[in-house]
Amino acid sequence: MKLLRELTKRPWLTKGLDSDPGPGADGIRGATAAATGMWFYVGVASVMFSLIVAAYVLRLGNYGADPAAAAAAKASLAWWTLAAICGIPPADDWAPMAEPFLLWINTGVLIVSSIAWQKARGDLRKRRMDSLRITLTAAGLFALVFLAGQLTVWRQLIGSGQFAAVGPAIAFFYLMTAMHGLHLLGGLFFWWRTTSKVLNGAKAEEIAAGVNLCAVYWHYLLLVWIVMFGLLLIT
Amino acid sequence: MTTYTTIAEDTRPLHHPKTWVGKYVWSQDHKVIAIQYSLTAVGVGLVALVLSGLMRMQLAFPGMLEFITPDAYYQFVTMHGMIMVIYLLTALLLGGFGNYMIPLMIGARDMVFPFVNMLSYWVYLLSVIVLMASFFVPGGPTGAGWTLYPPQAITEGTPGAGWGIIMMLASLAIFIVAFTMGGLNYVTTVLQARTKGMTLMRMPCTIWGIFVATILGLLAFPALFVAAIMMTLDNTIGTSFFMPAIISGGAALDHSGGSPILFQHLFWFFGHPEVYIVALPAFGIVSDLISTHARKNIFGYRMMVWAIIIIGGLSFIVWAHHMYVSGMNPYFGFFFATSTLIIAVPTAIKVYNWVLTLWRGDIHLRVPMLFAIGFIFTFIHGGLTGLFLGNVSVDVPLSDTYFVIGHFHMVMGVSPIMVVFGAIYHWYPKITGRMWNTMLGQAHFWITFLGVYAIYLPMHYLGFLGVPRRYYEMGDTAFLPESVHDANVGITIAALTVGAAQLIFFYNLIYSYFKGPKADPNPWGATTLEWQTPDTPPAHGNWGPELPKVYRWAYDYSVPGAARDFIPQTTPPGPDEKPHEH
Ligand code: HEM
Ligand SMILES: [Cu+2]
Repeated sequence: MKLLRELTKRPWLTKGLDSDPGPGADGIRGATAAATGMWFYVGVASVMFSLIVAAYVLRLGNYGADPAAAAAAKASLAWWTLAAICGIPPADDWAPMAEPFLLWINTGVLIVSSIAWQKARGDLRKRRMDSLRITLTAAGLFALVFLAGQLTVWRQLIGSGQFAAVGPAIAFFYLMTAMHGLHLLGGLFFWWRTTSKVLNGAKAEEIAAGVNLCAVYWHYLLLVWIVMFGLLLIT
Repeated sequence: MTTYTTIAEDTRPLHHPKTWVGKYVWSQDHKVIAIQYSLTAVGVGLVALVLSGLMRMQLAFPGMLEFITPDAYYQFVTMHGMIMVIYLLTALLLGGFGNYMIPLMIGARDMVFPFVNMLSYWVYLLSVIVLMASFFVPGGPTGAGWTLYPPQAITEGTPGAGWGIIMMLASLAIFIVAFTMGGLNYVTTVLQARTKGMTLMRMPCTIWGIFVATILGLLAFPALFVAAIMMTLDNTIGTSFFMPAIISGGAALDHSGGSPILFQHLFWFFGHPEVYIVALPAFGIVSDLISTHARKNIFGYRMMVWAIIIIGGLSFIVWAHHMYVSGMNPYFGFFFATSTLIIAVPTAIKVYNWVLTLWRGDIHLRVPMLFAIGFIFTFIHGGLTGLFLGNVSVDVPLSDTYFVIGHFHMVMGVSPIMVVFGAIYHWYPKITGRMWNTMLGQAHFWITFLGVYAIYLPMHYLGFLGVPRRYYEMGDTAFLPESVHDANVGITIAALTVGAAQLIFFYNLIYSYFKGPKADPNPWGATTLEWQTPDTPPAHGNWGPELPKVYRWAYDYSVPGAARDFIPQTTPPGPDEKPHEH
């Protein structure tokens, strides 16, 4: 491990410049500042989403109506380790959420958006700038459609009286979708910065980092969404 | 082969703002942002200090100041605690010192994302404004205690349960956004913008402390963020994340099934690392102060770095030692007591190494060094009482007493503040180009150092007697002897004295800024890069046309055979120095 080797050096013994070819020598050579920043941010966001998931699992308890599901949840290792040990009493007000069908469509749209980003990376590699313009635009638009879809789900739920206060699962649903949506909005800011450059005829080199980092970030948010949607589905 | 260029090597002319506003208000220069952060943090810190004085007045002379009602007392406790921990210490050590020191000590021109860095300050300022505004909303600020435990934080009867708590939660969320923007900058700059020759293991301990603390902050603050949002939802739209079925004021509230303990877990998952977010930069800085002013290399540099990393890692698995009395599973307590005591090992190593650095050093008792040595005392003291509280069976009777107040003020209140003072005296000549007055500095040190002992030592005794914390007044309490009251009067006199003594400090800084003698560019004979800048104070861009090159670690003090008792990091190896072996 490069980092380990670095951390066990004896700096008082080695003098001179030649022990180090310059910045980035510590196992992160080639990583640009933006990439480093993004990966750290992904770390921050992951902690946040994991904590929401952990809180969800902890809050999960008896399924009032469905004893079998309750037993299944309690038999799961995650619930046991978190809830049982932390001493959090099982909630007896848990009502599973009926996931609107639209969520499936939204999920599909987000997947398409991610695919478009991946295609954009390919276009960039092959320097197909015309195609890149289209795939980039599509990637962003699909993300916007996803957000609109999520908002529609909210409106449908609120319209049918399913406001956040009716039960814990639905409250978590609002929390998760809001946090996820905000992260996607942030991503769209960078999408817009990159895409407007491409539309204005920027060279491939100028936007390469932007496209690649956005694509990775999009895949990450897709993963987050799938985990959270999955959690809502199985509980 | 690609030639490697980084931000650090980027010699394109920086954007130099022309106007006063561009230079000092909307500035993207890390040094200006650092000063903005520091002044704001110290400004709110003074509010917190005044609040503590008011609380002490109430505790020593109950009822004398009529405006301190029980509600007001709770609000003062809460705002004092929260401001001190987050808006003063976190902001000052990372936003202030982190911003100023990172680029200078690693040889960069600025942070890697200067615009985001500027934004970070303005968002931080917004969080402070929201927090201060809560003093003026209907019902006043929240009085829930700095831990903000639900359900009481948002139920009727707690001061500020309406507006105050919402302002507090909003302010915290805004602060976290600001911190994240700054924090991403600090870590990325350390990783990506070090100048030629500045390997990770040549970084001064200050940078290590700030770097690891920032990572802790980035990973810990999300917990507080999530908790703040969930509590806001509970409070505003009636969800039940944390709120159980509860009867308040005789009526059942519209909540059920939520878990207050869940909040405690989230809060302390942030709260314990927060202790180290404050402590690690202080550890790092104090190492450099001790080494510089004892003219000796830091004892066990690698151990010091590893200890910082190990403490940082362990700090994420000890949080529930704050919850021994919350009714969690006893096995859980066993686990957390064990991990807590394990942290004591790397921490003790650091203390030994500081002492061993002093051992037979050429100690110059200048004011920064006085504060550094003062820190060793207060930190050992607070650390030892931490060992008491880390054990479940000892903690249970002491929990929520003044013993706890004495402990955490020593370890995370006084100790980091000692380092902050030391650091300000140490770097002031570089930052302002002027020298402070030594006599005033010494007076400031001795009054503060002896004063904090006069304040906090008796509190441990009060805690043993069973005096509970967060009490407006004790009244006639049979189990407490009359001496408790005398102790409280003594503590208050000491606290007011220490508070007033800070005027000496501010007078010294302000007076010297205008009238102090011109400072030498490197008055302490220090090796690290920030002392080798071409200008004092460093100009925009820090280094002139050429970036410094680093040829050695940061601790070449009193090297046998060297001409002077320090060799700056920028000095190439001499003929008799063995260059790097391949
Ligand atoms: C002269 C300096 C200080 C004095 C006189 C002072 C005094 C006090 C007093 C009287 C209390 C309330 C005790 C109670 O009724 O429970 C308190 C609480 C607290 N203080 Fe300080 N303090 C000082 C500095 C600091 C500093 C530098 C910190 C930074 C960490 C700090 C952090 C706290 C915290 C976290 C609480 C707990 C608040 C709560 O219970 O919610 N204090 N302090
Ligand atoms: Cu702790």
